[in-house]
Amino acid sequence: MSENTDDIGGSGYSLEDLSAYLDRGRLPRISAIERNAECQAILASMERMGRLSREIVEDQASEPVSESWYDSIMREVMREFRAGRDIPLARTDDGTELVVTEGALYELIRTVGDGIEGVLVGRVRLDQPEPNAPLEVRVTVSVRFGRAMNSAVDQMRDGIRSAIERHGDLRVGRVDVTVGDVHLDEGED
Amino acid sequence: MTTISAAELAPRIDLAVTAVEGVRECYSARPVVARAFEHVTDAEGSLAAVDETSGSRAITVCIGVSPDEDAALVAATVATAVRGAGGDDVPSSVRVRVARLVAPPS
Repeated sequence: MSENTDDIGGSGYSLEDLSAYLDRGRLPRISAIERNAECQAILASMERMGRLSREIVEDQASEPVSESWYDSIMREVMREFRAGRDIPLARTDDGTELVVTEGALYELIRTVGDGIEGVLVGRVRLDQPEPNAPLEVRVTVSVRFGRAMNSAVDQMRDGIRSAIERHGDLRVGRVDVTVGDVHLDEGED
Repeated sequence: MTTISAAELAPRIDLAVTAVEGVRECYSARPVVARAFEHVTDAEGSLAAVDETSGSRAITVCIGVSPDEDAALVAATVATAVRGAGGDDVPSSVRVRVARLVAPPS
């Protein structure tokens, strides 16, 4: 384990440590990682990004997605999971608090993008101007060359809204989806 | 009715939470310092955080659910299970924290 300023979720492990742990097939089991929600979410993101990165061409002439995109997105994911605000999920009569973490919502939004063909999620921002106000979402995506952007953006926007609003009292206000990049898939010219 | 200690109650809560349908993963809800101590001593304590003060308890649990579930419904069921795990009349406040909405099948 590194001496780190990059400690994820109080686990004592950094992003690099988690990457090495994943490379080792998560063996031997490290309890502090396996029992930590933020570490689990980061590991899941690493696995998803690993799959996506293998699908993207590495030496396109125009290089629409930079070589460091994996690292930059993982840093972004880590930043998101550190946004530790808790958001009420539902009201209860007996004073029980049911909350969802901001990090869980960030991961959910990224998963929506992963499920849309030809879309890569870059930056995600979540805001709740006032307690109990609808959530406002801003997402930057890269769209595969040739994919209709309007359709991709609409799918992303609708997907985010329905994915969040299926949970308790959560409501979504504005969803801004910005296409910030275009990428090419393997095998394309 | 016999009152049980926080140390006895926490593992019971862990079991009760794990058994709730829709709960895919359970995570440590204990404070960072407690987790750091466990890490240094290589101990594996309970996941639930149970604090006792002045005859009442504050219980926090942390869970992950699948994308197909309404997290609020699962969390409410978890809260009921947590209250039932005590088996005594000590007043308890319960906080259920959903830390992942896309947890994989465990």
